Amino acid sequence: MKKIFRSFIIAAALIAAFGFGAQAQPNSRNANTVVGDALAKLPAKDMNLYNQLADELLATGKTGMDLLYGMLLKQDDSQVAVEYALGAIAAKATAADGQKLQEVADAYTAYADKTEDATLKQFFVRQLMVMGVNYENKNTTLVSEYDPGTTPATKVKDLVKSIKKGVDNVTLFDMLGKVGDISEAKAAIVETLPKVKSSETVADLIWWLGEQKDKSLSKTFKAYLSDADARVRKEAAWALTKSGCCCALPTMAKMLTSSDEGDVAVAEACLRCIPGKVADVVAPYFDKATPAGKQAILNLISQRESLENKDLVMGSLFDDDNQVSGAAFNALASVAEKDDLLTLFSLLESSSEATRPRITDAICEALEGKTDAEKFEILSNRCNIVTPQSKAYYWPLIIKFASMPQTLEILSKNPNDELLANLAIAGYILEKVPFAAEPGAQQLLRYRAVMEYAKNAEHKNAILECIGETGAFQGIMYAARFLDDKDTQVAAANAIRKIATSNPNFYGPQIVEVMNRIKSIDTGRDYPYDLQRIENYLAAVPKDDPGYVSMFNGKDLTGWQGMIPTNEYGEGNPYLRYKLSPKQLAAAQAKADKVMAENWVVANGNIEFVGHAYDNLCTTKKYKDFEMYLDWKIYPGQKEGDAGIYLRSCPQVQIWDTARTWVGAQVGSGGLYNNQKTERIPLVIADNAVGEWNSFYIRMQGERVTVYLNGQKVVDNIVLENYWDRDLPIPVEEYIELQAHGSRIAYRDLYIHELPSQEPTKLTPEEEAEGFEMLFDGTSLHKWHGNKVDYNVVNGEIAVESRSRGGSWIGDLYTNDEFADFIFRFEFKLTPGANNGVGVRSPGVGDSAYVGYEVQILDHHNDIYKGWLAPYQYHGSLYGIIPAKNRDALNPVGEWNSEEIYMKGSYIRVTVNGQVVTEGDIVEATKNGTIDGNEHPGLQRTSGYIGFLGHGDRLWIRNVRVKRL
Amino acid sequence: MTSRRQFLKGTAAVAAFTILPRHVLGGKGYIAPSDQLTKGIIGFGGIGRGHHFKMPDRLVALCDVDQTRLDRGERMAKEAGFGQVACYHNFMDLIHDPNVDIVHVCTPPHWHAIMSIEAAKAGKDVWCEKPMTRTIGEGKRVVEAMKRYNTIFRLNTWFRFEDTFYGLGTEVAPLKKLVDSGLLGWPLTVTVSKHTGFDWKFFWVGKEHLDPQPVPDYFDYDMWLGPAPYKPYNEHRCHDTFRGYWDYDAGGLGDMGQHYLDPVQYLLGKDNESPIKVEIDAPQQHYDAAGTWREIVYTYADGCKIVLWGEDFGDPKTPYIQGPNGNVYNNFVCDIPGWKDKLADFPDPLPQETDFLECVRTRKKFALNEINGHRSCTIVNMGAVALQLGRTLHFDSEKQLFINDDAANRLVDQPMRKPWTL
Repeated sequence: MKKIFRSFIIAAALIAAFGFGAQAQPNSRNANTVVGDALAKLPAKDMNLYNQLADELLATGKTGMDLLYGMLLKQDDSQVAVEYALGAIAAKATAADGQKLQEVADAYTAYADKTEDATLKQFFVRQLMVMGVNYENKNTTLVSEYDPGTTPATKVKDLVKSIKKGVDNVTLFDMLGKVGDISEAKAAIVETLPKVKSSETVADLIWWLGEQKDKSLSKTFKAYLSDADARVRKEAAWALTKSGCCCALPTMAKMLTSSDEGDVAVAEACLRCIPGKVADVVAPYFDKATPAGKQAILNLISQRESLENKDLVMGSLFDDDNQVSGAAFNALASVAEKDDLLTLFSLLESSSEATRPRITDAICEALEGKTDAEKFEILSNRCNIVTPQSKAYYWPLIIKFASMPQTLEILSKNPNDELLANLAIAGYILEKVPFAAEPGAQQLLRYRAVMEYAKNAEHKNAILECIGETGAFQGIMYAARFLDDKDTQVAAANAIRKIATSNPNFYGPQIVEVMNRIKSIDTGRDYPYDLQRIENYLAAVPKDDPGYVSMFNGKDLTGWQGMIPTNEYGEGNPYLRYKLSPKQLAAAQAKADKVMAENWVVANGNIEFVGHAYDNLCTTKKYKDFEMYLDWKIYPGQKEGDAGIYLRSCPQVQIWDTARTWVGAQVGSGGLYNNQKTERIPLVIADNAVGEWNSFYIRMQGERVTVYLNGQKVVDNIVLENYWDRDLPIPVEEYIELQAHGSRIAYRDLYIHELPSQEPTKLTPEEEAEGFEMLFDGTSLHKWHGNKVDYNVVNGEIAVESRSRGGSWIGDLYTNDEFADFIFRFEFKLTPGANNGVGVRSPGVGDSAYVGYEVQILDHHNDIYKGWLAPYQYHGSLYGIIPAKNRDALNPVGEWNSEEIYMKGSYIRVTVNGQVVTEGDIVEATKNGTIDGNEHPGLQRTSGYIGFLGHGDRLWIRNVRVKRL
Repeated sequence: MTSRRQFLKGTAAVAAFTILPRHVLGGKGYIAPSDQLTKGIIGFGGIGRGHHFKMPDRLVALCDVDQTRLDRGERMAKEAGFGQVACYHNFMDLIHDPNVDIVHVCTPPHWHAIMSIEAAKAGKDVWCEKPMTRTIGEGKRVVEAMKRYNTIFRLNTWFRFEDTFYGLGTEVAPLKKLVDSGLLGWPLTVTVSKHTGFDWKFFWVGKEHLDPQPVPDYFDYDMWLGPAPYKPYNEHRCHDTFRGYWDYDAGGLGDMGQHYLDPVQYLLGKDNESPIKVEIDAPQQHYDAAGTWREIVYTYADGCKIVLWGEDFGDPKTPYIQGPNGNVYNNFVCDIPGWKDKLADFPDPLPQETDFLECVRTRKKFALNEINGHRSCTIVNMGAVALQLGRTLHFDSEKQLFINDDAANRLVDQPMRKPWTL
């Protein structure tokens, strides 16, 4: 926002200063124009724009640079943009030829000389540095050529002498670090090793040799595996392992039978890092090994998941040595297969505290390959037939494979089991929800559902942490409920901050208040980072837009009123409501409010419909364009679960029980149910089961509506038809209503953000007096039919979408009414080479240029038309019949043009930007046949539709009006 | 079952070592007051006060150019049980304090190289915070100096050997095992983005225009700037917000880059080489204030790629590691059928030296030292140069210079303000 504003000021200032802008022609751009255009767009947001602007700026040479330097000196609002421009020139110059680089470097050197300001001087010094000019002043100096010095290489002879004499490890490594010739040193050390007395030094030397990763040294290393000193043996084992020699595996395997536990531990660690069939090589040593060796072998079988050695594992489960049996249980999971399931069940039921988790892991492995539902069933069946004590052993497994609803059901059936709650909540939030990979809004609903079963702050904090990851809007205010409790406030603050700061569009008075509140909550190690994020978020909240505002205070129905019924069926037609006198309206409202009080209540923190009739709950405020969030839930056990959201008092975004297939509800909720011409079926079925909450995001801009249900898009920018009068567009401003359809329904968490809406373009008083009619006022295409897909209303204009080139039709847009004699006025803006046309007296089907008439729309100045365009194809021509005489009336591409087509009887006149371009009599012009030589059956027509004829090019149309003659 | 880490801890305790007079290292001679290693911290900002107070070595000296921070440090050291520590304004005094064994460089990055090299010259070992150096050239100098003075150097980030690796939900060791197994194929592409659990901390952006402010009397701004170009003081340049300025750091990329990329370099086995190409997609960068970016892509000579995505850029479903035969996602999930069983046939990665104080005593190189630390910092700095010049750059991994781009190479070796040089 700010940047745009700044750019605008700069552009305006430049226009004032240098007198360019609207008059400038794109093909004759001078340095002023280039600099002005660039400053309005810098800093470039992407690489293409950057490269384009920087190249253009560089090409302006000294003139452009002087201009920029002059502006820099002013040190006004434009300074930053100028810095970007001069920086871009310098960076581009360094990739250009030497001459260009010299030109820029010379200019910048002069600027650096001239400028007094320290910051500005530094700016140029920095640019010059990049360009290779060492601008000397008191602030800078060259880096002195760093001299790493010559490290005196240690002579191998001296090294060996020191080793023999006995040397401390620090000095030894110092010397080894500086050794001159490594291979010579290796050989000398190998030779010297037997003569070294200190085991410490031997170990250090073997470590150093090991770092050389040299297979040829394996013999040396092996020799030291039986050294008397433990550290020497350890270093030798690792050195052998790192050497990559194939003898490492059998050698280390044999070492597992050592009676020294330290050696066994070293051997096992090395074997974990050795490639090959390790388990098969170590298994035969099992019987000969000490208990420590046996453990190591079982560990390695486990690491390599060696099914071939399953019997060894099974056979050791009840070994007399506790450590060995422990290792066997640890290895169980890595060798378990589906045939072992019954064995594992019996093991589990007779298990001890210590072995139980291992057996549980093994059962999971044995179940591998089945679906979660199958696993759940197998385990639940087994659980049902075992003793009550053993049942609890199955909980971790059952929870692991339960679906989300199954988990919630288990929780609700066992409300007092804290251990079960620990398992179930952790499994649900850490695995089930993330694994389902549903949209954030849906995840939030999942987390809120399980929060009902949270037993302590630990549970709540874990769930809140997950909520922070959803990025879901309603998570912010939901998490805020946990700020009052000291034990949950940090997790709540983290969740709030994460959602808000990663979604800068989420703002509003309640959210800002909460964000200010969490500033004081110390979140631990990242607190300074967190605080910075909050400050950045708050600074970016727009000052001129309130953002999302809550529509429900949680206590009563403030902000809501009864809907005034206008017919015997209880429908609330706003057009009938408008006819009521103020007095009648007040009376009707009072009556409606009374009915509302019977039907609608605040219960369970929700707005709930408890009545039986059809009675909508209606906002007291009228809304134009908006986006809103709300949750809804259909209560279970009702025959006709049905509701909806009325937008601008018109039905509706549909809510219904998808089981009601007899009314077509299987398509899902969220669709624009009452549409007849435009789409009414949701894109996907995103409903949650009846009895569960659902979350809507609804965006209404102009007459178009987008709906997300539980995070999935179900309506994509579709026109909402006016149910009350299908010839009219949707009202620009009306109530939002929560529909009740006789069944119990709950709504919660309603937030609305009002969006800037398009003001309709109005006729001038003169045109109004003359009897003109608005055909397109910037808000709606309801007076038009045909291609409403490629002809889109965007920002008060009809934006014609671009399709593939080459004359391919994209479908035309026609008026709903037919016109015989008329004055048709409109404005249009072209892209380079764009082609379109105005069809007049058209039958609305076929090629209007022949079956009706076409007044050409064309950027005929574009090079692609050079040399071949026929006179009757220029802009404004009555295509193929009367050529345009004036070819200079169009404004440059990218600017708006105004056009008038006057048609009376056989007389036609086309005026572009106040200049008549075409004028003539059709009968006169065709008396000797048409000039394009084609059949024009449309010449017989005296009346028809007016339309825009799509030729696949991008252009914009606005302010379309007509007067019948 | 002993884990590899427990095993390492066990063996480290078995080996007995004596502390020897430091003069054998060739530095200034002194005898450490006890068997416990001592340290001095330069820069008592967020990092200095943070976790370094909790290390097992003994704090004996502090240095800061902000008197308020120095006073605070003195107080906090007492509270933490270190007694009276020596307080210095000039870091050279701390480095030459004979009671200091290890110098912790906790300043902004523009000081890291000078302080590390001066400490090495004085015979001290160095613990340096990430990012290692502000330029590739400074990193080269540190590598040379550490070799010359036989210094034990630790670059401080740790994910290559411990801790769950940010949002990835796994330690690096199992990933390394999977990569080394070859099951994924080669070359690999690693994507570091919000979608794979990493936050580029884009609030570290500088302000494009700063009005000069008076320098507080307790703050030695000239010394704080040191080798950086002189620019009029504004508090936003210093202390907690310095990362937003190219003169001292490189925004979120500088802050988090080495944290996130060093483990990637380890995974790909690139500790002795650098990417040969860096491509960027970013808004234009200001000459002073570091900004944000959408994408930075690094390519190694063998075709391996590291892809960084800022904010929400890129496809959210992208895996962390992509290989020709399979992909790895967060929480150590791989999409190769039966990958867990297949992986069991492969060995674990070799253990690393992860006890810094033990390395100081035994003179073995620390797992993350000046050599691989310089390489992973080079990834960060290559990105910073490409962002500042707004173009694709090619890099000679051997010479550690950009190819055919003089301007980029001027950002490899940048001038320093007098009297500071390397």
